[in-house]
Amino acid sequence: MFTVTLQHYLALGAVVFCLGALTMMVKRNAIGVLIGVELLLNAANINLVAFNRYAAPGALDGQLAAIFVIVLAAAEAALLIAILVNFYNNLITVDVDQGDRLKG
Amino acid sequence: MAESTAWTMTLLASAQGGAGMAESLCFWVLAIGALAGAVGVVISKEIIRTAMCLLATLVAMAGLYFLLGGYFLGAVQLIVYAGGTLVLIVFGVMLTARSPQVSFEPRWFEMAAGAVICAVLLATLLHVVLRTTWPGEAGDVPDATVAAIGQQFLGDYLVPFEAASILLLVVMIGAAFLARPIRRDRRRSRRNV
Repeated sequence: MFTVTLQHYLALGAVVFCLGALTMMVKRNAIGVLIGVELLLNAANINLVAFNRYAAPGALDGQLAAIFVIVLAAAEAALLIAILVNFYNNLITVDVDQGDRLKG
Repeated sequence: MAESTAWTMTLLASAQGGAGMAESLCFWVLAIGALAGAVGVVISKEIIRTAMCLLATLVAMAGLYFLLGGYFLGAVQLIVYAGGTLVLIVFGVMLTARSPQVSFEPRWFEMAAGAVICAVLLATLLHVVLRTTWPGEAGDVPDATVAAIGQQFLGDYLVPFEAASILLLVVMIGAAFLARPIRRDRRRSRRNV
């Protein structure tokens, strides 16, 4: 209980991942969906860093992968905000349910 | 400033001290902080509060990186995520703040379906995590993390590094193109068509 093992970090990552997925499903505000994606990526990152420390000590591959994930997350957030501004300009709302113009 | 530096130093010392009481205490405090932030993200109604709960989770995650020996990674997390991405999100909130008063409340069946799916996913993941025997002991990370990371970037990871830089360039151009202001005359001509 008192010594922190790999399982603790993996369980934390699993719970945060599920909360991020729930955020993506439940929020109707597009920015809320983006925040859910950020939670997912963070949950993945904590797994990478924990495996780096416990499974492959002495190497840095997990941390490097986590840095790449952070870079991709920043790029994804920038593009999503740009798309969101266009969405808002066209529909005057950020409710993702309103973007149904292509619905058959 | 001095207090936070001292706190960081104790955190680093506890991380290097191995399986100590202080490490597990730090872990539980940070993990509960991260979980509280994530729960707050799910249940908060106003979008700006959601962003602030995300900030709590990001900072707690950075603390966990420090605890795991990823000092450079923790700093990057604080600078890029908490300093950059979150500011971008807050800008997005401000740019789209004048939405008409529509309710963003999730409908009850959406909430129920999402909760069921996520509960199943969580049960599966936790089952795997708790039933597998993972490699046990925490090893030491290399001392000079920043220098080693720099050498890896320009050595084994050169191709992904360059690909990431090209990706960032493309994203910069794409975001500037997408978010450009629409000219009045063009909008009028589009309406006439």
